[in-house]
Amino acid sequence: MEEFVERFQWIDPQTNELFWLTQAEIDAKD
Amino acid sequence: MADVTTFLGLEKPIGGEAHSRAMINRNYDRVEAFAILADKMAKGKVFEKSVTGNSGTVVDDVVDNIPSFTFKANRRYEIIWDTSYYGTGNSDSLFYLSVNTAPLADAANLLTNLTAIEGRTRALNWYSLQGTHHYGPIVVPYAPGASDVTTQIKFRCQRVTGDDGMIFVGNANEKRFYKIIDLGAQI
Repeated sequence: MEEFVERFQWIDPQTNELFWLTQAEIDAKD
Repeated sequence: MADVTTFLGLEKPIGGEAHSRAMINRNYDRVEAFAILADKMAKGKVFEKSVTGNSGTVVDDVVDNIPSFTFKANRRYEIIWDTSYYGTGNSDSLFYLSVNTAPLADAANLLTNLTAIEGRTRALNWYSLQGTHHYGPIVVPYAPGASDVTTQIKFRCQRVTGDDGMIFVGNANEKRFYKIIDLGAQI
């Protein structure tokens, strides 16, 4: 099984599309 | 004499259609009939998206969504959600998966204002750490009726009993996907 990295819901404010991102990926978007 | 095409049965006058005195209007009738028939036929896949990232740990959440899709009046559709999954622990846990319509204005992760299409469509029982499971796609029928329906679609996982979470798998080799199939005219 792959290494576990917790992902969180992130909603694209432009499209209202739901993504599951890592905390680092979310931080990079802010 | 006229040739007859094998497919539509159109007549092809030797003199050319536009100037032939032999030409009568049956061709237009046949073309029109075929156009009406073709319009009623299944159009196949009208939406598809695949996801290459796992979900987070889901207890009761929207896993995926389609922000907006217009179902055309008087047609029949299938909505398909296909995913592998694994639980995060080894308690005896039961989850329901469902496909829901929701208002366009609602945020993607909201769990209110949901209307489950065909109810709760699948129960997943998880009771030990056994690797990744795949249960086959969830398929729900949807027919909008006499008017176009533009709606958000939310794919939801809901824990009913137990203590575990569920992770929905997506990676390059095993994509999670959802799609909408047009099955043809509503009967």
